[in-house]
Amino acid sequence: MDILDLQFMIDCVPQIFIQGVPIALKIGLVSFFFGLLIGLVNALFKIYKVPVMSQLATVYISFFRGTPLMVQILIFYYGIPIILRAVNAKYGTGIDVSGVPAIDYMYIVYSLNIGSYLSESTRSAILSVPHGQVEAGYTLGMSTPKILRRIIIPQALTVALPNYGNTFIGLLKDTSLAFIASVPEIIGQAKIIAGRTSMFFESYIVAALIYWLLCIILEQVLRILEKRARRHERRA
Amino acid sequence: MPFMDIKGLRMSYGSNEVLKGVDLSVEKGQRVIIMGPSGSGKSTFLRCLNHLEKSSHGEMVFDGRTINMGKWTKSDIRFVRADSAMVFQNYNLFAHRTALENVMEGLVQVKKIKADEARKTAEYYLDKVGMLERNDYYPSALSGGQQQRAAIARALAMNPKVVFFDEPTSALDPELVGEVLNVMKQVAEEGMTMLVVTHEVSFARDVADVVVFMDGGVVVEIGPPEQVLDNPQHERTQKFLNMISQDHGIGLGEEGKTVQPNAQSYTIKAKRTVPRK
Repeated sequence: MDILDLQFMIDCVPQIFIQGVPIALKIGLVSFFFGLLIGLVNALFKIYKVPVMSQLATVYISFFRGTPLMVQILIFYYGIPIILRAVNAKYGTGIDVSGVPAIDYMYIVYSLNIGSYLSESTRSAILSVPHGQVEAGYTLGMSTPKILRRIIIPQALTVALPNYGNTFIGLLKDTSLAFIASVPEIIGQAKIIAGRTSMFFESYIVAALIYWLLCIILEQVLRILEKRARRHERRA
Repeated sequence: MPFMDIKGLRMSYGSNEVLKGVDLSVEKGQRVIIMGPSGSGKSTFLRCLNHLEKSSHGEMVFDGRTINMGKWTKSDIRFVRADSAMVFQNYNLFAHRTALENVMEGLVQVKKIKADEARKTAEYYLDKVGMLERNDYYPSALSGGQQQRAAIARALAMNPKVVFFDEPTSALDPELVGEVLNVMKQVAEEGMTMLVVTHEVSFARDVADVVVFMDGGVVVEIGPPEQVLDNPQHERTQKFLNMISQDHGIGLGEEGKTVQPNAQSYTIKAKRTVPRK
């Protein structure tokens, strides 16, 4: 008896790929986008030592980095509906709690989770831009927001890019946890097939290969991006 | 009425008072050279003038506007920065922009000049400092002297009424000092009002209308270069000048080679190229 049924594996690629990959990418891209915004705002709170907000940022970062993503998913997936129902009961709002798709909860929890990691890498990237350039901007008459937008953020992005890339690759793999909130992403699809056919080993190996492929592609894209972003640095 | 008139400027870092009441008056077109040992407060003084450092007390008349230096308003800051420019010790070029883009940045972003017109202005000033053929280089591909010349072009392109130079040659390798000083001399010849913090005695002799010697957060001696540099009245000034003339003598450089730092600076003593204001 063969250890693996190769034909079966090939047959289940389309379902996992076509149905699972778009969901994984959607969770990854949407929450990375919002995570970047959260990270930037938090970084600025902390750098400019905004009272109250910078302390809140510290607690937020500490919580989301200090608890497992799986726990966060469970809390949000089960917690938000309870809170919404309570809000409905108290204020008579008619939010249709059961009508909210599970993936929307995932956008929230993954954004918050990834935002906590991106806060720190964004902060250190911003701080890596020499302060002298900020002063030069001031003496030219530029305002602080303009200096941020024109001088600091473009250079900070270059510094942060490898870090962002790694975080995104990690995030994409972590989307595999969304199946516990019954979101049919890559692992969700593999489980469906495995449950139907009892071909657990094959299904999960196909899922693993798909993640691997995605990450290889991402690494190549990142390499090109980094090369472009670093074009102002001295060529060896 | 002087172009700038600073009275009683004080500044502290925490409990350490760096400036203990500095007065200085600058006429339009005047070249003021500020010298003094490190820690004397000369850079801090310059940086208080455009509010890069927060002064605690003082009053400044700048181009007809009276500013309470203990309590700058946003519009005070805008007013001063709009008509002044600064050249830094570490050049502070924007690392992600080419030389040309560095000069264009202020023109396009602050003065709201259209890109093609700003490009022409930027090229004019880069040409002036001898950097036109390198206008598409990033700072990392330029030598210190080239970066500083581009930074001077960036300052001049904003058409300021006064330029502050904060130790513009201190970070440069000795052989690159001359090219930057030459550009600065040219700027002086064209009548720009300049406040220059520097240790280059010969440059001061050559271009200064007024030499200010600072020590311990106060102005110790002020006057024309022949007075302050050649016939200093205060012991502290004499000591300092003796010290830096030794530093600028012949010394041992890297790998035991004999280096003559900025040899040119000792030949121009006799012939002053910049006419007295």
